[in-house]
Amino acid sequence: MMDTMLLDAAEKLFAASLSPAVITALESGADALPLWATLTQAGLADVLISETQGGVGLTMAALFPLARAAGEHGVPLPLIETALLRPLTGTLPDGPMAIASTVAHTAAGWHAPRVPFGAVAGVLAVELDGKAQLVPLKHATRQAHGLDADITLTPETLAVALPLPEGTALAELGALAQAARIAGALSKVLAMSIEHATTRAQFGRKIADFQAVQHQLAELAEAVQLASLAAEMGFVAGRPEKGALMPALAKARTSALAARGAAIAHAVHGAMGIAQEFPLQIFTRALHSARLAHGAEGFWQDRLGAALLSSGQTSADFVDTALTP
Amino acid sequence: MSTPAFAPLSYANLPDSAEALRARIRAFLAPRMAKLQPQVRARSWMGFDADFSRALAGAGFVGLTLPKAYGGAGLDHFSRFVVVEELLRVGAPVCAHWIADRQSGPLIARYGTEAQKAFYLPRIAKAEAFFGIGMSEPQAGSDLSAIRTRAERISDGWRINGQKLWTTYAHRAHYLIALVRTSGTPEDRHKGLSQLIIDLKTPGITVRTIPDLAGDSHFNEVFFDNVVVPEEALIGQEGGGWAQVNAELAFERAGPERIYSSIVLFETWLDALRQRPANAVTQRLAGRLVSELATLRALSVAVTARLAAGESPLLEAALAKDAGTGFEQELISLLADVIAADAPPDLLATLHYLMLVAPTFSLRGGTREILRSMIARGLGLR
Repeated sequence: MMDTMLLDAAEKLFAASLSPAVITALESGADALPLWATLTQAGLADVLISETQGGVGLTMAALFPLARAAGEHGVPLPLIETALLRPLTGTLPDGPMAIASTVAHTAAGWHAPRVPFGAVAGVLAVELDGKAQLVPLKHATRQAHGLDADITLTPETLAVALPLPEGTALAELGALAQAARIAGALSKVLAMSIEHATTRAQFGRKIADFQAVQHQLAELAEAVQLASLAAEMGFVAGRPEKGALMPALAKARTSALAARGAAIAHAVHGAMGIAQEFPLQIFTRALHSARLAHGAEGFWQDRLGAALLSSGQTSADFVDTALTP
Repeated sequence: MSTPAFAPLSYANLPDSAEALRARIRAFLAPRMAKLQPQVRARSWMGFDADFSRALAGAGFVGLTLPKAYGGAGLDHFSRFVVVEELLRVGAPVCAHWIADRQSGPLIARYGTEAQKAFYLPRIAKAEAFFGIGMSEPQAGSDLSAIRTRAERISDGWRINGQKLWTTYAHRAHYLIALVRTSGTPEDRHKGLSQLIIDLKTPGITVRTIPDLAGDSHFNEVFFDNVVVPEEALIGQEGGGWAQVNAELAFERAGPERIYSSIVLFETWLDALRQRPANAVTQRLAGRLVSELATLRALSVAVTARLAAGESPLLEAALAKDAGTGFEQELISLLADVIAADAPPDLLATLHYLMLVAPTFSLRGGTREILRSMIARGLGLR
């Protein structure tokens, strides 16, 4: 019951504080802190923290509907990444926490390309020299790409880093957050596509009357259902360890479905969906970005395939023991 | 905020009571399946073995959801899911009792008179009565309401004339539950249709087998020439056939049988893959396919959970079936794509067979196009 009330309240808050204009402004460099303050004051970043420590004490499984709703409303901040990391940090760090799952050492410092929500984050969770840590981004160099950013961490930024627990599975946590984002965004583009198909008329009738359109939307509904289940299974499995398989399942499936779903939504919307002033693109760009974040489907399929082949199990036993939460 | 047009099903676990059956059904299957080649097991629910079905029934695994009072096990949808899943995963030859267990038994349990239940259900649970589905006709495929086979009332029963088509194992089954016209004309569509339980030994019935493209003989044409059946052949309401048939089809769309039709091929391929050094392409493909399988299975369990809760998740069942049969077909073409020149003979034989029958996966029980139109209706598009 508690979870349902929290979800209802969160959805109302998302609906009240987000609009295509708000999301687009943040993508263009507007200050993200007012929106972040709204979300954190409602306690949404602390939902996994125990009630005795001032949180809500949700399980990972109970976090999923909120994570999915955040994707459906296009929350343009790493709310779910932050919620997943919060039980591992002491006090709430200064600003939203993004996750970089890989970094490369360059002459300018550590470089993390296309960090999801990197442009609007205040802190980056990243593993450097085998140590997971939180790096404040105030003085980092950032090249924004909408909500994402290429981030370079110089030695002075690293001087103020805070440690995260040893073995924190950053790539897996990031994959789960982005999988839920895909599940939510797919629901949104299905709703927008149904709305469009039942109002837009061509050849004297609404385009939803055409069987070719109906069948594409049926396939999109399948993508919504499968992505939602795959992402949820990742959350139901609980807090992941490094190398875990359930986040791999969640990200492998949702990434593949994100691409297909975005393509169908655009096919149904026609040229209109390409226009910046039409909000579909906010969600299809999110789908493409989330698909590539922390590795696309093939990357995570590799992990699953290696585990299946080395297990010596039948696919049935592997599904029952390794891929069922 | 408006209500979403489609709210996806949430994850559901199989309850422990159902999982408890898994070890028992596996113990039953292990010695019986060990000798069968994969190309035989790939026939799965098209494989007919009456002795196997009777042994399965003897072990208590047929008629799982039928009431105990009629010889069934009185178990829930989850229990049947586990048993059926284990049968399909190894490609057990379940066809003999399949239709009776899956559709006819539940139909009789729901709509039958006391006498019908007492007569048929115990024999179904013992795998002594095998059933066929008498729905399709030459002019009534996807458009089932166009059927022409007619049953006219006579003094003490019904006289049937007409033809059924694509009737799986009518040449080996004991009974057929036929959808027939009991009033009106084909133009009346779904009005005036009724279901009759017909003993296939009744005089006037001719069954002719239609070999399929793989050389198997499971399909039949069934001709009715002034076939007289008793009054009590009617199952359910006279004129209620259309609603009954749709309820029957809902049973058949919901189960795990829509994800496992190619599983024997997948297992055979994995075995072969483990005999040689890993290769980046095949490893990734193995990961892709197992991730799709795990998600589709979770969807099938989620649909079963809604059925167990007493709901009729028509949209979700159609969606699960369409996605599942798509996976079954794609698996075959994706594995064909990576077949090496030195592939093992059993793998090649299994692949050759499945490539031929794969189109049927998205035809039987409602075509892909019919299902997608049902989904579109559920989404409010039509």
